[in-house]
Amino acid sequence: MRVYKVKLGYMPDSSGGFGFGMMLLFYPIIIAMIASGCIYAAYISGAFGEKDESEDKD
Amino acid sequence: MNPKIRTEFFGGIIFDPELRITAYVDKNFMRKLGYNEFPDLDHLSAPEVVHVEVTKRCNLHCRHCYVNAGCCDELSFNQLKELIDIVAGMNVFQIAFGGGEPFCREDFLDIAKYAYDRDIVPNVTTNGVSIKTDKLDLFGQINVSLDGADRETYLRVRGCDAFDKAINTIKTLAGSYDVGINVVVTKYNFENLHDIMKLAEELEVNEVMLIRLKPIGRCKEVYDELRLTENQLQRFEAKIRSLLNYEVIVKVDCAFMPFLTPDDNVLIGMQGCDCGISSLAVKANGIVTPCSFLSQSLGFYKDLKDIWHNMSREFKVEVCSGCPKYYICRGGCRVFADKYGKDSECPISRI
Repeated sequence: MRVYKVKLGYMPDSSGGFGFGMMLLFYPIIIAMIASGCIYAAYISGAFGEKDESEDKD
Repeated sequence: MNPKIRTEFFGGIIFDPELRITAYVDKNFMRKLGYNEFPDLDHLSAPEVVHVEVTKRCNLHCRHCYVNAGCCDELSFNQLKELIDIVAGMNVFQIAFGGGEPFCREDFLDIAKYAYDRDIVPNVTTNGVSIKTDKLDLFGQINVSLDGADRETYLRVRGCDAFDKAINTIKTLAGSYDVGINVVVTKYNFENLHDIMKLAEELEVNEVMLIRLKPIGRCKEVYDELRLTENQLQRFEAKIRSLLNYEVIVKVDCAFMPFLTPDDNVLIGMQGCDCGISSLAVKANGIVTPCSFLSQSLGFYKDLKDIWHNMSREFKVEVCSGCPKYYICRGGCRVFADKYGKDSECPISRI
């Protein structure tokens, strides 16, 4: 599995800005955020729950 | 607001408004989330963000204004609701409200609330002069324009004085909301960017957004006076890197890409022009444009979905072909390419 690109923050301006240097400064935080974000997303979609249960039974 | 997940031709995009991240992931990642069908497209299924100019009215008259704000036709509340419905139907994540000065519209908060209720994160850029400081919880982020850390610089850049009002607005909002500062970088404030960062730290704002001056709107008349000098352009990257030591995030306008060196940091976090790639803009009169800085009409807002899927994404700048940075710079800012045939200030294309 790959994460191609991560954008941090909101986009309040019309200049399509990107965070210069943020990726290095916040890299460990970003990794944690991606992980928790995806887990939350999976929880919302219900994708992981059923699959994990069936794997446990096997 | 719950996370949004969109399948795309390469996999998908996960947008988490609470964590404030947008992640592009591959098909395997999406399959793990239970998504097994992917659109047969060569572009995103929808923009990540749509810039909506809600009005051209403004209570200031800045001399470098890129939209030549003042008056003219604007969409009605019902038309804006219709636009937001279309944007929501496309599963767009965010709307960046701008102007003119959005808060000059009496119904602006109702417009933003309508977007919020349709599960779109509304953000706004304001000059801070007449912003109502309550009922702003619905905004993801509020950016206030501040082109100098002191009144003299602010006045010199903008030609009108709202420095105290902008500062007071930032102070009032920063304790309760996510606030950023927008800085149009000119030769008059370039040497004082550290002062702006210190002020941003002191005011406890989230980020400072550095915006490139563009020769459009009223700024056409003063571009040559305000633009960065050759010496400042040469020092631009070093200056920006020196701003990274503050506890405030630095964001950089994609139009500055030609002046930055791609490195590992760039590869992950930076990119060039987003026109038609992940964003689209709607002018106050409902005309759709590739970017809020461009006036090239792609059609009317009612056709936003068709416009997105059928618009030309070809953006070739002849002089940039073969440039090692092209894959990430994408030819620089289209405003400059449209006007001069290339980014006239790009340090590579000038050689």
